Amino acid sequence: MRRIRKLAAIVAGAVLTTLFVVPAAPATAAPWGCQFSTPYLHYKTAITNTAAYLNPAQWAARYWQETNTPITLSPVTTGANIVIADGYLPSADGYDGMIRTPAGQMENCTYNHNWTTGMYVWWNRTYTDYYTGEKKLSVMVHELGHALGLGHESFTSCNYVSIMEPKTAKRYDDCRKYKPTVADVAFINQIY
Amino acid sequence: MGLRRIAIASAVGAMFLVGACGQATVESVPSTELHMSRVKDYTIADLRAESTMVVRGTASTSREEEVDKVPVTFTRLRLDQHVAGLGAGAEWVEIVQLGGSAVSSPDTSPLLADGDRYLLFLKPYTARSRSAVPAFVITGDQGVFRESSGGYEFTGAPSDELPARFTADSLVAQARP
Repeated sequence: MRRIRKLAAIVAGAVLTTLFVVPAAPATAAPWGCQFSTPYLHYKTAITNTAAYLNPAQWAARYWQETNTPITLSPVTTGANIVIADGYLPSADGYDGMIRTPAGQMENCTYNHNWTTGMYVWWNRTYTDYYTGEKKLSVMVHELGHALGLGHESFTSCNYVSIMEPKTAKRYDDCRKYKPTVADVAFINQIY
Repeated sequence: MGLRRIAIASAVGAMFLVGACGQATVESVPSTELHMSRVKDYTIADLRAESTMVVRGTASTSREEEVDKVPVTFTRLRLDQHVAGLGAGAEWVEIVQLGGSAVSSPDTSPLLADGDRYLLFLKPYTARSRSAVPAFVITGDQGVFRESSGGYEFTGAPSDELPARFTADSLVAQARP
């Protein structure tokens, strides 16, 4: 009888904790459907303004590398899976970062859900030249998340906002996210 | 008899399978994909404040180019009405948008459609264009509204701020300072 009461108390405690202490994580599908076939990846920097962008580029890669996932992102000078760059994007207004898959990658992804090499991730200096180092990181960690296979996620509450929130005003200005969150790590572990 | 049924069923099954596979390979696949990080969502007040001009116009032909390794579409727009800001000083302008016919670009504004009429908040395109007419980008990539059913439908990059529809009078009035 005492054992049953103890068990009931544990179950009730767990239910109450779930309901009131741990906010239920909204279930969304973050992966966008394409990813690398291996988590052992290499990146190269193609930075023009090294004083302002080299450090954030290296830290952005390091933040993903340090997650509790199989991902490794090692710097190389040739044969990179991901190129991190800075530049200007005159052809559109309102964007501070971009990932462009090279031609042919989407066909490959359609057949086997993998891309092979050459993801090109980019800061748009029109905006990011005025960002702090941490805010630059927020943009690049987001873009690297795309390269690794994550899509966008949008939530109202900062408790749920992940690095894959599409708007920097929300992701960083409101919620100060500049590293992969628990949800991002969970999705990466689903993929790799 | 049993064997014949199995053979027929297998043949029919194989035909369906081949048909399904055939469809999958026929489906057009974008050759490249763009995903963007957006600075913010624009309100009408933001669009008005940051735009050089606001116009109504009709989309016409378009061409695709790569600018700095990024696929871009230039669409000619015949100006029907100058709503606010500086005048373009031309009957035609070009609207520059990210993406193209073989590009999947879910985060950016859909390309202007030939023959459709739009109200656009615009900023000058700062890169060199080979066109003879002035080129502009859409402010925040969100200042674009297509005329439909006597009003305007928002057709910019995904936004949590801007309503999906405006009445014609309301949008034009808000576009003016």
